[in-house]
Amino acid sequence: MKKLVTTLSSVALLFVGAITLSGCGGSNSSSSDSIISVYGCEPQQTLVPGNTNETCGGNIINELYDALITYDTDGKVQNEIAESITPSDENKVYDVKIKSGLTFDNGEAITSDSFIKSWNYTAADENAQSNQSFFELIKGYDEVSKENSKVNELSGLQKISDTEFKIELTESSITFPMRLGYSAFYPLPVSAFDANGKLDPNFGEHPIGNGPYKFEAWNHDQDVKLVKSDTYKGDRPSKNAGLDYKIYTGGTEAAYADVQSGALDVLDTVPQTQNKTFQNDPQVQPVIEPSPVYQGLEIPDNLPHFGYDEEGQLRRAAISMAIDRPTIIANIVDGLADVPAGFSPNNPRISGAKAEVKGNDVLKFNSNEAKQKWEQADAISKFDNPHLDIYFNADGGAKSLLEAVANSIKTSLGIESSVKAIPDFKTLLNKEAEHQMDGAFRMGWQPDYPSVENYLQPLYTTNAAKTGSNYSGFANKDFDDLLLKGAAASSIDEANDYFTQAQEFLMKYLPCFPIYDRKQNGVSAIGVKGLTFDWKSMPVYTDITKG
Amino acid sequence: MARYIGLRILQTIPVIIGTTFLIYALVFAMPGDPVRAMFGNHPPSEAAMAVIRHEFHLDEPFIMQYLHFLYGALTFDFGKTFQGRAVSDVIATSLPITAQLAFLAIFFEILIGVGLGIIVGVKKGKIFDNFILMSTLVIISIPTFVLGFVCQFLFGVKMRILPTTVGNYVDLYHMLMPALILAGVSVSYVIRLTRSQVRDNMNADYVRTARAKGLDNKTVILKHVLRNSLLPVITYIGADLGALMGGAVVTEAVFNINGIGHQLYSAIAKGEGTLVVSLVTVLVMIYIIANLIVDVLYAVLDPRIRYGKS
Repeated sequence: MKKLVTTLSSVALLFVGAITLSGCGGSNSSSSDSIISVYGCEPQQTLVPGNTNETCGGNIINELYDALITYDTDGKVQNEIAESITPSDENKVYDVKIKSGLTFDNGEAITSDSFIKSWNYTAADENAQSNQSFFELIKGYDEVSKENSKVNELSGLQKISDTEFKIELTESSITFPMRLGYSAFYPLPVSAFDANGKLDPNFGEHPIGNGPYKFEAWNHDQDVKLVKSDTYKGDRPSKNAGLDYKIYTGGTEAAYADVQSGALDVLDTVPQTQNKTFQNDPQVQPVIEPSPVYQGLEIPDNLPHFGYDEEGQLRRAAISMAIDRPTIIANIVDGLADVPAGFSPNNPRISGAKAEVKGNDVLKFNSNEAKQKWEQADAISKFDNPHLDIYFNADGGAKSLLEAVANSIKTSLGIESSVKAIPDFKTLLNKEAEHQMDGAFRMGWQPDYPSVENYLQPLYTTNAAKTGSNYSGFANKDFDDLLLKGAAASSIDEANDYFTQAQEFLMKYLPCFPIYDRKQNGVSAIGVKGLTFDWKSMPVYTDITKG
Repeated sequence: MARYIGLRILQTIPVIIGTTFLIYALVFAMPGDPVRAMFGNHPPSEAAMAVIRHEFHLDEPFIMQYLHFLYGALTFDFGKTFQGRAVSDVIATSLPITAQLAFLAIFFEILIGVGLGIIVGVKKGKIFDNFILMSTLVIISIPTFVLGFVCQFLFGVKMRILPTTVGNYVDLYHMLMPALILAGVSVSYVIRLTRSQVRDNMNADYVRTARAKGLDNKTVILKHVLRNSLLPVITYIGADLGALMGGAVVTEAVFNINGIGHQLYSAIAKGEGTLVVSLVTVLVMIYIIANLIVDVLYAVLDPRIRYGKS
C-alpha cells in the first residue's frame, strides 16, 4: 500500500512541477506601464483587411491600417492617405490623389498600386475574400465575380501615376468616399503579392500595415500584440507604447472581472449581467456613448395579412404602435438605449441622422391608436391567423427583448404572440435569405460607413433583396428613386435631404420596426485615462494612456 | 498483462471509428450552411463561397467528407480550421492547457477527497463528520458557474489574493482557483464515496483480525482499510478525468482558460466538422486511456484481479 501512495503522490507532484515550470515564462512578462491591455477576441480569419468582416479581427486591423479617408466627430469625411478625392460625371468617377512620403511598416512607399493590387485581390472570386461585395459599385465587378471568371482585375480602377488613380463606378454614389474608410479598401504592400497577384499565404499571420501601430505577435486564442509604429506620419499617432489584445474566449464576463481587479485596462462592451451595476462600480470607470447600432423587428411581406397593401400598412403601423418601447428599454436593457426617431439612430456622428423624422408617430407607443388601426385592417380582411410568432436565434441574447415585444403586442392588440427559437444565427440568416420565415424576426443593424444611406440602401431597396440584407420583401420604385437621387446629388447636404425623404416614405410601409437605439457601454480600469469611442463604437485606442 | 494492455489498445480502433463517424454525421446534420454563416450581412458572391466550400470539401456528400477526414487522420493530417490554422496546431496548444487544469483538479480530488474521506470515515458521527457531510452537500448543489463567479469576485476582485482569470498565464498560481472550482463537485463525491467505503470496511472481519494481531490503528487504516476502500474511488476518479477534460467548458469560460472545452464549443457553433471530430477523437482516446489505467490499477490494489489469463 505504501508503494501505491508514494507512486500516486509523486505522479501528482510531477504534474504540479510541470505546471509550475511551464508557468514561469508567463508570469515574468509583467506589462510595462504604457502598453495598454485591451479586450480582444480571436479573429475569425487571419489578419488580412479584405478578409476581415467581423469585430474581433476588425478591432485589430483598424489599428494596423490607415485608409484613404477617416471621419471626424460629426460624421464628415476627412482625407487621411488621400490628398484629394474629386468626383465627376454625377459622382460616377472619382479621381484619387495620394499624399506622398507615406510608407508601410516595412519601409515600402504607399502608391496607387498599394490600393489597386489589394482591391483587385479582394474582388476576385478565386481568392474568396469575405469583403468581396464591397467592390460591387466599381466597374468591372460583375466580370471578376462571375463564376469561373478569367478576369482578375477591376476595369474601373485605372492607374494614372504612382500618386494618382481613377475609380469608375457603375452607378452614381455620393457616399462612395465615405465607404473608402472600410477595411476592405485598405492598401496592402505590393511586396506581399507574387507575380500572379496572389497574396502571400502567411501574410495574415504577420500583417504589414501603415497605421499607428505595428504588428508584433499573435498567439492564437491568447493575445495579439501591437507596438507603436515609429514610421507613422498620419493624423492619429498613438499616445501609448502599444496594445496588448488579451483574447477572451468565453465572453465578456471574465474580462469585466479582470478590469475590476486591474488585470485588464479596457473593455469596450460591458456584459449584460453588469448593466445595472457598472455605472456605480467603484472598481471601474464607466463610459457611455451613442452607438450606430439599433435593434428592430421585421415582418416579411409573404406573411398573410402583412403585405405592403392598405391592410398590411395598417397592420404594420398597429404592430409598431403596440410596442411599448420606453418600458422595454427601462426593463430589458436597463435604460441603456434611446427610443428611435427614425430608421437610423439619432447619433450626431452619422451623416444625415435626424432627431425627428416626419411621420415617426408610428414609432411611438400608443395602444389605443394601435387597436384602432388593427380593427380598420380587420374590416378589410379578418385576421384569421390567431398567432404572430417572433423568431430569434437561441445562440444570441435577444430572447428577453423579443418576449417583451410579444407581450407588448399581446396586451395592446389582444392577439396571440409568442417567441420561437431557431437554433443559431446561421440557421436564422439562411431562412431569412431564402424568404422562408413564417413570422416576425429580430434584426439588428451595424452600418459600414456613417451615413443614413447605409441604413436604407442595403435593407429596403429592391436590389438589396438579391444582393443585400433586404429580408422583409420591401420593393418600391419610388423609394429606390429617392436613394438614387441622393446618390447622384451634388452635395452631401442635398443627398441627406433625399435620404430624409426616403425615411419619411418608409414610415408609411414599415418594413422594419426600430425598437431601440443601443448605447455603447465600456469600462476602463482605475488609473487608465482617455477611453472614448469612435463612430462605430470602437475604442479610440490611440488616445488611451495610463500611469 | 502486456498482452491485455495490447488487446485493450486494439479495441480502441473500432471505438474511434464508430465515434468519429457518429459525430461527423451529427455535425453534418446540423442545420444551416457554415460557409454562409461566416459572412453576416455582406456575403461575397456565390462563386467565392463555392471556392471556400470546395476547399473544405463541403460541396461533397457526407460519406466523402468523412472519408477525406479518415484518410487525412491516417496520414496524420487533420486538416485545417476555417481560420486557416492546422487542426493539429489547435489541439497542440489547447490540450496541454486543459490537461494541466484537469490534472490539477484530479490532484485536489485525491488529496482533499481521499484525505478527508478517510478522516470522516474513521470518525463517524462526530461534529466534524456532520460538518463535512453538510458542506459537501452544499457544494454539490451549487452550479459550477455560480461557485466560479462568487469565488472570482471574492478572492480575485475584493480580496485580490488570487488572479481573476488565467488567459495567457498558464501557471499554478493562475490555475489554482479554477482547478479547485472544477474539482469542487468531484471532491465532494470522492469524500462521500471514500467515507462510506472506509466505514463499511472498518466493520469487516479482517479489520478485527488485524487489530487482534496487535497492529496499531494507523497501520490498520492505511494498509488494510484504505486499500480495500479505494477500488470504487479509483473507478470514479478515472471516469472523472475524461469528464474533466471534455466537460470543463463552464469553468474555462468563467476563468478565460483557452482549453479544449472552448475549442469544441466554438467549433460546434461554427459548424466546423473536421475540428469537432478531431477534438472528440482526442477526448475519446483520453477517456479510453484513463479507463485502461484504472483497470490496471485494480490489479495493483486487489491481487485477486489478474488480467491476461482466460
